[in-house]
Amino acid sequence: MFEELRRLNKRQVALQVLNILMVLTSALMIWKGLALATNSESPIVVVLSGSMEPAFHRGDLLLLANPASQPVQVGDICVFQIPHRDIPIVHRVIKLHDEAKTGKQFLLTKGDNNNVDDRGLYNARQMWINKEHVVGRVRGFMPYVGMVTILMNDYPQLKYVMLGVLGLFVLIHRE
Amino acid sequence: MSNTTMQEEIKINKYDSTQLKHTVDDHLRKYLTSDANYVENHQHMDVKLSLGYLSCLFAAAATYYEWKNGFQKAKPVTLICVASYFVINFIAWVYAYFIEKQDVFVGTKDGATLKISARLARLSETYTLDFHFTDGKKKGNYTLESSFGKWFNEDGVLVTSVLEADVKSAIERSTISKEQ
Repeated sequence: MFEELRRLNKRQVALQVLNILMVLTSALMIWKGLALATNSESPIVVVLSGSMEPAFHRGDLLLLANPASQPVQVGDICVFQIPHRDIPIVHRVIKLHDEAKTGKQFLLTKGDNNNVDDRGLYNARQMWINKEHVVGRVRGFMPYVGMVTILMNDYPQLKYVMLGVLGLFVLIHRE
Repeated sequence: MSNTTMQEEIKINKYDSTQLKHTVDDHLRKYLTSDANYVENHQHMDVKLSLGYLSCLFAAAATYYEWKNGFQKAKPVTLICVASYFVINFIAWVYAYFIEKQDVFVGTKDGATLKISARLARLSETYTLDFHFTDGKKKGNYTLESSFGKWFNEDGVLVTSVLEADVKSAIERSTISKEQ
């Protein structure tokens, strides 16, 4: 299997490397295209906690959209990212104020399965989040599909093993 | 062929038709360029490589610009990059499908052009090579239909002398038809 790789000339090696790059970039560019179409930086997210039960469970895949023309409304389930935090949160908007002059929106969120609102999760002394923090609003979900992602988060080595095997396969396999 | 005795043995998995095809194609090119003194025309491969790597540059640019400027601000640039990426790859597909087709070798010698295109039906061991010979206004064609079993022995080793003899006679026949 490696002898075949060794016999390749420069152009053929460049083509094998290109094949790996095409696998990666095509996935990346489809993702970016989807992000542009939905106006959401991350149009698909995985639920990591049970705070929105019984609506969403751990491992559910959420499909998001964030149309710029539509303001956020009370009752919307939003995925938002608090500044300087890594992990986005999926919770429901329970209170909302529109600033008449600027059109700026102030939101208060709460998980359906939580007893209190999210002010304890926001940054210190932060009372509201703004529309700019909203990554997307939930438009659909697929149960359990995201379990793979959770497994890969729990066992990060798994991710690299899979990537390595896939990359090696593409490199040594000629179409 | 005395000049093949120095070469290392090419041994492959004889049950893998993709490998069989690539081994024959690779040796064909090697024989035509080093023994038959053809100069290979790398246009097909170069077009494919340049378009492919160019599209990867757009992907890299989009990623870098978005990482630097944030999603909302980078949107116009991202849109241009995403569109370019898919347009370039579509062009590459059109080139491969309509221009490159099944060509395995294009080369020239003394102003004459030799083009070899291949056909291999799925799950078949019959490999068909079409030799197109062009010298000015003269043209010749010859179709070499053979079985992989004639070119590989039981152990999956390529018998280069048989393949080279077949290719040599195919070229001669394709050049004869031009003189008629």
